[in-house]
Amino acid sequence: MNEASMSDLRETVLVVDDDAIIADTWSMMLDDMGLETCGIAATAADAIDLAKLHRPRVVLMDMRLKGELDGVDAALAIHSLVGSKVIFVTGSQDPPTRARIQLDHPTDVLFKPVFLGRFESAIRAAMDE
Amino acid sequence: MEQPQVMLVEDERIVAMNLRQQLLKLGYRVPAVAASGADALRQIEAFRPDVILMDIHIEGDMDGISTAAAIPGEYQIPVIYLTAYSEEATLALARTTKPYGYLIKPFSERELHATIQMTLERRNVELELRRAKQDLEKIVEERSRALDQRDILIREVYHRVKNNLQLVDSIMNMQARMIEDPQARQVLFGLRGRILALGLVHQQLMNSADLKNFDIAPFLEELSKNILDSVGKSGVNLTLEACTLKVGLDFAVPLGLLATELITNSLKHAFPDRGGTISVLLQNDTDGKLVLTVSDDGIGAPDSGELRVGLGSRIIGNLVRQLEGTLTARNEGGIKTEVRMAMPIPS
Repeated sequence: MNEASMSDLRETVLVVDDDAIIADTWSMMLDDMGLETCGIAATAADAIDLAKLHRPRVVLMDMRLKGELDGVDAALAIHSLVGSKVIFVTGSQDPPTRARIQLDHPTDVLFKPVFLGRFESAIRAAMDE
Repeated sequence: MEQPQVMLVEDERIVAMNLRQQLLKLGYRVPAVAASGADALRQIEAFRPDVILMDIHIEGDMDGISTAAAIPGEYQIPVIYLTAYSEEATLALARTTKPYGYLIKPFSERELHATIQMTLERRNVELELRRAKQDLEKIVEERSRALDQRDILIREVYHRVKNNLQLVDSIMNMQARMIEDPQARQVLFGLRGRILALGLVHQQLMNSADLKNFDIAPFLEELSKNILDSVGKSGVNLTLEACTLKVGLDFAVPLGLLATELITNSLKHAFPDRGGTISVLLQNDTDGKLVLTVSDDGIGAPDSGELRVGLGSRIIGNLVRQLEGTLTARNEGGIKTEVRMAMPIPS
């Protein structure tokens, strides 16, 4: 990724979670923070397409997704194609999952259940960086 | 039962013929007589005898000892050495091949028979032991696999629990957005804090090696940090000092909920118009009790005779009872709440 590609990112967030209610909640919480959700994806393929389309500054990425690819697959692709920052959200804390997440050098990792304060500070930090 | 096969490795023809006759007379089968090591190894491959009588000094490049050493271990064929010399150096070398016995020439027919019988007996016992060991190994392997499977299952269940807690929090969050009344919103906020405590217990369990016990100190640290973050009250600091202690689910859940209630109380009431510090302390007391202290340097209770324990007082009462503890609260430059409880037993 280069300077030019970083600078044309938009101040929006892409939400990737295969649980519709949780995805909607993230979107609401972002709205409460005055941030726009550019899209919601439930699969890695949709996430990559939406990221290429909207070029969001931050992607909120669930680890487990519908389909064969997981959040790390999607994050690695988005990272190289778009350059968005990725914040992982995961329900698993076992070492293999953690190791896999580190492959992408994530901006932050949130463990479910994630609560308001932690969520806000992670998003703010990623948007402001 | 078939007669046992005894193979003979002997390079002196006369001795070999003589021995073969004796063996046949004793009722053994003699499938082969080899005169050299190379010949012996070929015959062993072909016949897989039950016992080998091996002369130590045979013709060719290999003596009896190196021939015995070259027999594949997995055949499990016992070797009895035959030798005219019994010097210690030869015997020491022979011992490295773990023979079943030695027959020092000349030996009687009775000695021959007894040694072969004993060898066959010992070999049967060893084969049986080997079988038993293999059976056990198989069982252990199956059990290990079942245990691994169980761990995966438990992790999956914890994963689902946490996802569902996230879902519960999401739904409450949606509800909170529809509510105008600040007090009602506050109530929902309190509920979310309690669910957070439950969620963190499960997060900690996932990190622990046995999926049953974990250290309470990092748990309390994470919990108090999250509560402070969630409330988002500026100017309020939180300090935590906790002893290392392995606990199970049964203890961590009520303790986590109790700490949540006490910290939330301080955050809600102690600092209406200024900042301050909340201190959380968990320590072993000299009397073997575990003591949780939550104190703040806030405004304290308006009337020292009636200490405020807030809306969560009923929950606090229940949790203290569950932890087999006693609670005292004092006005002491703020509110200081102390819960003394029984030391938990790891599950």
